[in-house]
Amino acid sequence: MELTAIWLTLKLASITTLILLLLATPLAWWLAHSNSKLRPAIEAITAMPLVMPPTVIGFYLLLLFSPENPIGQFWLQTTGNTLTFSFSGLVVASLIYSLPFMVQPLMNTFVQVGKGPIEVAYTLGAKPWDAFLNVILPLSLRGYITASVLTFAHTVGEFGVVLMVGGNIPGETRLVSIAIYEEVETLNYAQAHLLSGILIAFSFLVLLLVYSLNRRAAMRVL
Amino acid sequence: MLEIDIKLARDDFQLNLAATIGPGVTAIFGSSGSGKTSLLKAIAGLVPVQGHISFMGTTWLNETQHTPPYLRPIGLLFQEDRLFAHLNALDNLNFAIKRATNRKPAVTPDSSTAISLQAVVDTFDLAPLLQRSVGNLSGGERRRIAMARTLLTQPQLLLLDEPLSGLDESRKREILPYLHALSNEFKTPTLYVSHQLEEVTQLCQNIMVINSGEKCFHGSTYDGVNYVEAQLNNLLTTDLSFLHGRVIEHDVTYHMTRLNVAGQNVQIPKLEYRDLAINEYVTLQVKPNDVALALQRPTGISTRNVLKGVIKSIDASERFADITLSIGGQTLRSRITLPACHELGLQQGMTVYALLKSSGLG
Repeated sequence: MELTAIWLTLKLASITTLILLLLATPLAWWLAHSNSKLRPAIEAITAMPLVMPPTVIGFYLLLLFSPENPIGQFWLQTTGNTLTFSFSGLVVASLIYSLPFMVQPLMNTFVQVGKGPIEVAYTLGAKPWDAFLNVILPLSLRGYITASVLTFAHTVGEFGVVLMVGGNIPGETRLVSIAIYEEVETLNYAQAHLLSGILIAFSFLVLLLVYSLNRRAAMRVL
Repeated sequence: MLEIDIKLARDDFQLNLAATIGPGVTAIFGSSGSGKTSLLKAIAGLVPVQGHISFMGTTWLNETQHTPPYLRPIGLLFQEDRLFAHLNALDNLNFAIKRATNRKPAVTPDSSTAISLQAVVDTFDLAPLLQRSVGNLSGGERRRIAMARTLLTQPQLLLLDEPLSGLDESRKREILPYLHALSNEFKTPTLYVSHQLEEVTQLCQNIMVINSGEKCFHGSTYDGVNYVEAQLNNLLTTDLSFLHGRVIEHDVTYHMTRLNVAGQNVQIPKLEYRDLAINEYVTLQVKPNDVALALQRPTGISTRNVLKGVIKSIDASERFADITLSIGGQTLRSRITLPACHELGLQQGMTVYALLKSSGLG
C-alpha cells in the first residue's frame, strides 16, 4: 500500500486549501466589488490555470523555481532547500494551479451576497473586520465550503504540474497521482486499480458532500 | 444641525446640494432617480463624495477628512430592509445593540434618553416576532424589525429611505402609525426621503425639494406643497389635494376634531393613533372624487364641510372635468362629470362652494 503517498497527498491538499482560503478571500472580494479598469485583466490571470495545459504551468514553474532564477535562489538562501523537487515547491505550485478553484466560487458568493449587508453592518457601527467576520463570512458560508472542497479535491487530482515541478521522490513529492502513473508504467495494474479506486471513491464523496451541504445551507437561509 | 455642501456625480445624474437642515423631520422630496438615495448614502459615508458634511459641529467630511460610516452616529433605514438573513429577528436587533457604543457621538448621549430594546419592542409590537427567522416575516414585519434595529444604534440623526416603498396599501396603513411613533416618541432629527407627497404631508414638518439635481425649495411642508403644486406639477405623483389646517377643538361626544382651514371650518373624524394638540397644524388629504361643487352654500344636507373658493382652472376631458380651486390660497381639486360642469356653467374665476365628505378626509 502506498500509505506515504496518500498521506503526502492529503497534507499537500490541506495546506494548499488553508493558504488559499487566506489569499483568495481578499482577491475574490476585490474582483467581486471593484470598478477598477484592471479588474478584467486580473480576473483573466486568475482564471489562466483553468485553461493552460498543466505541463506548461509546470514547465515555467520549474524554470522559476530553479536556483539559477532569483526566486529559486531566494528560497534556497532563506530556507536552505530548493523549491524544485521538494514539498515546498509542490505547495507553491498547487497554490497557483488551484487558485481559480478557490477564487471563483468565493467571487460568485460575494457577488451574490452583494454590498447590501456590509453597508448595513457599517451603519450599525460594525468596523470592517467585525462586519466581515460576523456578516459576510456567515452569509458566504456556502461559497466557502464549495470553494474549499473543490480546491482540496482539485489539488488531490493534480498530476502534470507536480510531475514537472516535484518529480517522484517518495515521502517528499510522490503523490497518489504520481504513484498511479508509476504503477501503470511498471505494469503493476493491481496497485494502480487500488489507488485509482480510492481516488474515484474520494471524488464522489467530495462532490456528494458539496451538493448535500449546498442544499442544507440553501434551506437554512430560506 | 446638519450642514451639507456636496457634489455627487453618477452616470445618470448629478447632484449639487448645499443646505443646512434643522431638527424635526425633514422630507427630501424629488422624483425617482434624482439622487435622493445617493444623498442619504453620502451623509452616511457609504459612497465617495466631494464636499463638506458636518453634523452638530462635528466634521464628517472635508478635503482632508472622511469619517467612516461606522463612526457616524447615524441610523440609516434602507429601502429594502436589509435584515441579516443568517440571524433571527432578535439577533438582528442585538447586532445593533452590541455596536451602539462604537460610534463617535456628535453630542454627548444622555443615558436617560437611550433607546432600550424594551422600548422598541413595545413601540413596534415586536414581542411575537423576536424568535422568528427573518425569512418567515412578512414585508411589514420585516420593516418594523428594520426600524427597531436602526433605532437601537442610538442614532443622533435618522436617515429614512422611502420607508413605505414596496408595501401595498394595507401594509402601508400597518406601518404608518409606527412611522409616526418613530418621530414622535424618539424625537431623533430625521431626513425622510420620499417621492410621495401624501407621505411627506403626514410625517414631515419641513421639506427639501430636489429637481434635476438641484435644491429648488427648502422650507415648511405647507409652503413646500404649495410650491410643488405651483411649480413642479410633474412631480405630483397623486391627484390628492393637501389642505393645511389648525386644530381648534375636539368634540368628545362625536369623536370629531374641528380645524381651521384658511379661515373656514372643517370637521374630521378624530385620529385614532395619535392625539392632536390644540393649535397643532395638520394636513388633510382630499381625493378629487370626494369633492362636490355647488353655486350657493347648500342647506339641509349631510355633508359637514363646505369650503368657499374660487375656480382657478378647469381641465375638461371626454367625461370628466377636473376643477382646481383656490381656498384662501390653498389648492383643492375636484373631479365632477362634464354634464354637471356644463349645467352649473362653471367658469374660471367663479366663486363656488366645495362640499367635502368628512369620512373622505385622511
